Amino acid sequence: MALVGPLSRALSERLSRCRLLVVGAGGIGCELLKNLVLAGFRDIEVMDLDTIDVSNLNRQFLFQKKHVGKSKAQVAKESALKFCPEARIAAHHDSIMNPGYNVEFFRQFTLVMNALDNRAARNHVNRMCLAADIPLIESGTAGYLGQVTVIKKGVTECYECQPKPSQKTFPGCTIRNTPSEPIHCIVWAKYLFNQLFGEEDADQEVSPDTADPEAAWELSDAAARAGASNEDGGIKRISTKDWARSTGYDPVKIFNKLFRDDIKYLLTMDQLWRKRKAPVPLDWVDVEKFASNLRMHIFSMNMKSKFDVKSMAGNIIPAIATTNAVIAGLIVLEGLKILSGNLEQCRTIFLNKQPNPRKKLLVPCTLDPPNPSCYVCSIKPEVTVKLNTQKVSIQVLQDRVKQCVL
Amino acid sequence: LRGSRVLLVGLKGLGAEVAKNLILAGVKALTLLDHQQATSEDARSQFLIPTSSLGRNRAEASVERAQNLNPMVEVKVDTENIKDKTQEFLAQYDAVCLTCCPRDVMVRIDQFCRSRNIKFFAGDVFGYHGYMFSDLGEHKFVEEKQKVVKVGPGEEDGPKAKKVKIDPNETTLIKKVPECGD
Repeated sequence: MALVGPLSRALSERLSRCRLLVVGAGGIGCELLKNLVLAGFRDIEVMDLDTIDVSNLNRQFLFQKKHVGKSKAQVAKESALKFCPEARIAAHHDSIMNPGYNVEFFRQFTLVMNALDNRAARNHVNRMCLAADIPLIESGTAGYLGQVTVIKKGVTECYECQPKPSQKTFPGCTIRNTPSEPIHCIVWAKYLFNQLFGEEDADQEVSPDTADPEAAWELSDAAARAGASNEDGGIKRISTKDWARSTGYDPVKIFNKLFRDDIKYLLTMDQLWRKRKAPVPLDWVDVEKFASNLRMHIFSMNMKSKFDVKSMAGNIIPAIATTNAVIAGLIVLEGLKILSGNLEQCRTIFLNKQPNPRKKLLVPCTLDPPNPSCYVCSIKPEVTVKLNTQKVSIQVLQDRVKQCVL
Repeated sequence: LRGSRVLLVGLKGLGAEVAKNLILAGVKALTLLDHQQATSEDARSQFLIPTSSLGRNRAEASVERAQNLNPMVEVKVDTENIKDKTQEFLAQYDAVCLTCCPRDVMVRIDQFCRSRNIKFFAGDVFGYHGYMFSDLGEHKFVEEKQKVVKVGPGEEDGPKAKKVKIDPNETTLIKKVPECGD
């Protein structure tokens, strides 16, 4: 049998003709793009709405310091092309949830691979791939843990067939600019403590994120603003730690920066507040509570008990480069199975922190068939709603469903 | 990690991945050692070597992209054959990682590393298959375990008092020493 490396000639040719969509050019995305290009894929579209931050550089190895502020998708494409100039890579500095990426857009691909970091985008891509009937390889990492799975309409469970526990890690712009849940504020307070009294960590910035993609009218704006703030000649951002030290750790100055001036700055990013309740800055004279409760107050949220705060603060998981590398490798292997026509060989694979009783770190599980009453992918979608029939009329229920406020 | 000097032997596909991971992690110094030239096979798996550098020594061809991954790591090049290296040379490292090495070389170097408590790693890939081996000698490591919350002394005796509770939110780090054959 003719071989191209470890691949059969037939598979190798299929790879080079396969049209691939990679959603996300971050931790998993960089490793994945490298793997795809070296494996022989030649037609790839990569999409990411984000720009490069200095905290990304320890693991998103396609990016260097000189790229900070630029589009992740664009720089990832340029770096990957260096390994393989013959590959055709199209980069989109955009959100996959943009309605322009409709079912027709998805249908042009042979395979879609997610390299995302949030639930909303994953749900969206899941639904688009079901609608277009394109196989999707889903993946995720958190610290040392990772997972890869394959989603194919009618054959396997979709991403939403089983209820998922609430999201545990959050993008930096949520923590720094637009918290909406108590946990975002608790994470912020933990970062703040580290920034003031612990070791400097670019992954744990607390000041407003000027490169927030959502804050810009055009995504190119965010890139320009982030780029500007990195250049010399005016707005050079000084780290929270250095600034605090320069004030001699003056509590009034620190308070006014964190809870008044930074909030006022966030208010100038008016795009963020078009659909959200705007934050209300505080003054030093209002101070009496702990940092996390203060922030919750600013963003109009319910307070959390001290016990809840402590338990949530423990759940902060740093990103680890090699976890992403392993998962990206597994994604390609699953992709090869699909392209060889061996969908039944695909598995959900878990990467664990400790070996199991059989001494395995990587644990494959057969894929489950679709949930027959899944409200997303089944032919007869079903949802169970509990309500008090004494208090809620059918009219009210109908109105609420129409307004999507169930 | 930040004080470690590491020797990496063999800069084919596997070596490139190891180099990337070590450099991103931020070791103090990494020496790339390889006596062979880059071939067209390397173009399919070795992303540190520019496609224009075929025919060049693999370690030399890899050093620029490797260094760019993390300017804070001292990335060095050695174009000699690991077979010809002295014990003195090996003794300067805290950890040694061998790829593309024949068995007799790996055994000899492992024996020496073990005697000096230098951490030893070896591995290789063959198409879809590969292996990794590590010899870490005598060492301590930590494992994260769920914290056990014991019932306080003021509790009444009874079946409930004898149950030990596990606090799902707290974990603790326990120091361990491996046993041979673990």
